[in-house]
Amino acid sequence: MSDPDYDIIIVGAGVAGPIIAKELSQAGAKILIIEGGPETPPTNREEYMSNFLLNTVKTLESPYPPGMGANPAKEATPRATIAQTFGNNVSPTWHADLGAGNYIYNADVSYLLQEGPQPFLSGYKRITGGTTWHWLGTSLRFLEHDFTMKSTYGADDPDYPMPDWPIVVDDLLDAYGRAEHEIGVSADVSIQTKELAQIGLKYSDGYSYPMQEIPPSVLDVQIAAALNGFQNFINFEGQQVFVTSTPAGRNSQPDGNRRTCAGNTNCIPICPIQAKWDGTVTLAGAQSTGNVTFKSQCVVTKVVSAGYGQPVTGIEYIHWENGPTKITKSEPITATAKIYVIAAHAIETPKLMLMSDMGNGQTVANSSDQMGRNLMDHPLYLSWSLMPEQIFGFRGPLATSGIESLRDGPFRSDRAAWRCEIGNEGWNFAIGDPWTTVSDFVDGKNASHTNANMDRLFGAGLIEQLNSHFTRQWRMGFLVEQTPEADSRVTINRDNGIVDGLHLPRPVINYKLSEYTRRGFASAEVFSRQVYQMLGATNFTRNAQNLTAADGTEFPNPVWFENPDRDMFEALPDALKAPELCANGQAVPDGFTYFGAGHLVGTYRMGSVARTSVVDSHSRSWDHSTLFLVGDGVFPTITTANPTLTLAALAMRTADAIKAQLATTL
Amino acid sequence: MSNSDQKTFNAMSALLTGFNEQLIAPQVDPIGLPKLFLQWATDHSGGDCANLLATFASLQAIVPALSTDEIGSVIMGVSPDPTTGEPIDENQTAVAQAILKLWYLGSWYQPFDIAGAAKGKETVVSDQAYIKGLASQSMQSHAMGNSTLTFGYWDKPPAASLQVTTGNDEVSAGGPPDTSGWGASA
Ligand SMILES: Cc1cc2nc3c(=O)[nH]c(=O)nc-3n(C[C@H](O)[C@H](O)[C@H](O)COP(=O)(O)OP(=O)(O)OC[C@H]3O[C@@H](n4cnc5c(N)ncnc54)[C@H](O)[C@@H]3O)c2cc1C
Ligand code: SF4
Repeated sequence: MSDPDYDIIIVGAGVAGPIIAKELSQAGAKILIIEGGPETPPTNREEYMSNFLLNTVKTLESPYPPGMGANPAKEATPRATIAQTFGNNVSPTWHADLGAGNYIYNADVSYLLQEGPQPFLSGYKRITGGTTWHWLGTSLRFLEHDFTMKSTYGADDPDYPMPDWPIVVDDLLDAYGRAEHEIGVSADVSIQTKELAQIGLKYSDGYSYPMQEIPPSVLDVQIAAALNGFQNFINFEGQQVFVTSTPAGRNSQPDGNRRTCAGNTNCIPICPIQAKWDGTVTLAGAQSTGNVTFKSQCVVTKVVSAGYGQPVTGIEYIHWENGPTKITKSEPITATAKIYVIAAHAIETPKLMLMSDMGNGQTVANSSDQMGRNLMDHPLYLSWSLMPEQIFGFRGPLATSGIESLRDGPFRSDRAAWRCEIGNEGWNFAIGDPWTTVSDFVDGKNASHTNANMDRLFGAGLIEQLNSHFTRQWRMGFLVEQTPEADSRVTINRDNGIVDGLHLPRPVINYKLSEYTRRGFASAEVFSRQVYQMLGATNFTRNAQNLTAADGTEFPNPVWFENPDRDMFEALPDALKAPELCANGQAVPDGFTYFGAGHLVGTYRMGSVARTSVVDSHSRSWDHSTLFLVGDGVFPTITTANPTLTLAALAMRTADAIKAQLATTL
Repeated sequence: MSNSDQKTFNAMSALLTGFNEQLIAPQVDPIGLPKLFLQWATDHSGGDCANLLATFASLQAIVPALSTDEIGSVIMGVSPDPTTGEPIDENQTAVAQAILKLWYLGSWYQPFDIAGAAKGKETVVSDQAYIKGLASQSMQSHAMGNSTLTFGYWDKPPAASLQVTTGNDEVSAGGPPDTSGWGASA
């Protein structure tokens, strides 16, 4: 066999790819990074900002190519977006039609082909820098018990849905520190551990974060004053509640040529000044070693191997360009290396692997039949309210604090835990403000549910009413821990005739929330009522069971599900059934709606045995010793923390393993 | 667009938005939103923007003078036109509402069907229209994505009062929202 072209080929330049490239290129390895999307030099930020400013729908994808509303069949790198999951892309008969080649969302609009029974609601990016262009920057560590769920909370229960990880938290402490320094996380260890050591938040001895913490908002301080130390929350017996400042990959001081955060309140969808870390920062660091070759607009279509137990011997990719009328694309090009790293995130990675046929009816790295299974997100319960006093939202980073202190506890034996993110952006996420409330008070409508009199205002009266609302609005976002389910999964279907602009199959998604997960929503609703009671706030949350079609008929809202625990609500004290504290004003809710959190996890899980997992604890394929699948697709469970810091720490660990493997075997 | 149309438009904009005319239509104005907005409203309302300005001018000319509240109520279709006893033409009110939202949000919501634009079509008329949108002033903040402040400002309430951000001494800030008719189940 001829010498391979490179030491390492890395597919995907989001978070995991650049981190591994930087670590190993600094050690002298010759690396090729292949990125499917376009390059994104710093000068592109202005163009993306302009797209954002001029787009009417300012969803997280609005700044970035391809343009909003593009047909995924005509794009080289289409991606899942939030706008694709809007109700107007759902057929009123979706419920009855599902399964017969029909999908929840119109396939001319939605890149993901969603077979249900429930929709997957998160999006991701396919450009250089990946999804971090519109990440929020939240950089929490996982907790001790997050790694040992089965042995801690389900040892005696054969049906307990949560597995253990093949590693424990101590295995990651050092890598967490390295990841926090690479990302540039702003936080303070003593503040974090003061309230959170009790739930298993750990650091190496003497550790300190690279940057000082981000100051809390006026809202955070007010909520902390009301809640801190309180321990009579229903369903959390004896557990104290604390509001803590959120570690963030956001500059609290200048870093290189990147500025300090100026509180643009726009981390999602785009930081105008790159105060927030993204994958391009680390990619530039890798490229500065001179050991990295970077190819953009090259979509990898196949990982080549002769069979299980055999090494990977190459990858194939297609180079594409947008021509004046159509996409031009190369014939498949083969590249070879000693080690292959796939860092294409938790939907594109399994899609690529399932496309990698080995000619014997089997696909690469899938002897366990786990590839693509266990797709998870943090289904998010959003609860929004008005405070009795002004707290001045719409200022500062989108979130600066959260309630982390209930992320662990004995209740995890039978219902999902969550973390609660406190939002500084008023009801922007919740109802699309300021647009919705302004339109209500100018047009005499009540979409916000705060203009029941249908007032039509102008002049000082309009200003006063808007000021009153906007300076009191806030929301909690509960990131609920989802269970891994074998049939929540990514597959491909080469026979449905639905492809992307390169004629590649599109991801088919099956997804559902288990009873365990749904019970987490019920506990979040009860918790929010207690919080509103303590603050004197009024709940305006709406969980819409139905959507309304253009002709006025109602049909089931795909993101709504039935309340899993009516008894728990029946048993609440009357004070917690007051309509002004309850979502929809319902003492016993009929059901809940969920959002996506942008956290795509679990589809090539790590484990301690090959039979039930795809990769080992270093993210190495059990089936091919020269293949590493990295990113949060390896997580056996999603836990309650946002995934990126942990996937970055795992990438550090993988880099070490590759370094060792290159040194010993080659 | 004639100078006098622009003057009428600016006066009407100040009355409807509640913001001081010097703030939204300054003498020296490198950005030029009033001009852009009048042009946009004229181009997207058949003759109804011109009709609305004429109605506004005639209301201003009534002796004894109507209060700004009375004029605004007529324009917004909340009270009848005192000279006719009838509400003004509903298309004119719809244009006034579209202009008011344009000032607050930077977006033009097409008020009724015209050739080339269906009712409800939304357009951000320029990046500055979004950035300078008065909604962010009414919340004593900035448009999302356009902070002019520096690190850490969010841990204190806004330094500038609502009177300062709107240039209107008559607004009283901080009052509780009008809760009449509220109910979480509404
Ligand atoms: C709105 C939003 C907010 C978020 N906020 C947070 C947060 O606050 N904290 C947090 O921890 N996480 C957050 N996340 C999640 C975070 O963005 C992801 O965890 C992270 O980006 C994953 O990194 P990655 O490298 O695995 O994948 P990505 O960043 O998605 O990068 C994958 C790259 O691979 C490329 N690629 C894909 N397929 C191919 C192929 N076949 N060939 C070549 N290249 C390919 C893609 O183009 C892309 O550039 C958020 C996500 C969203 C959507
Ligand atoms: S708050 Fe603003 S400046 Fe700070 S990271 Fe977010 S978008 Fe960037």
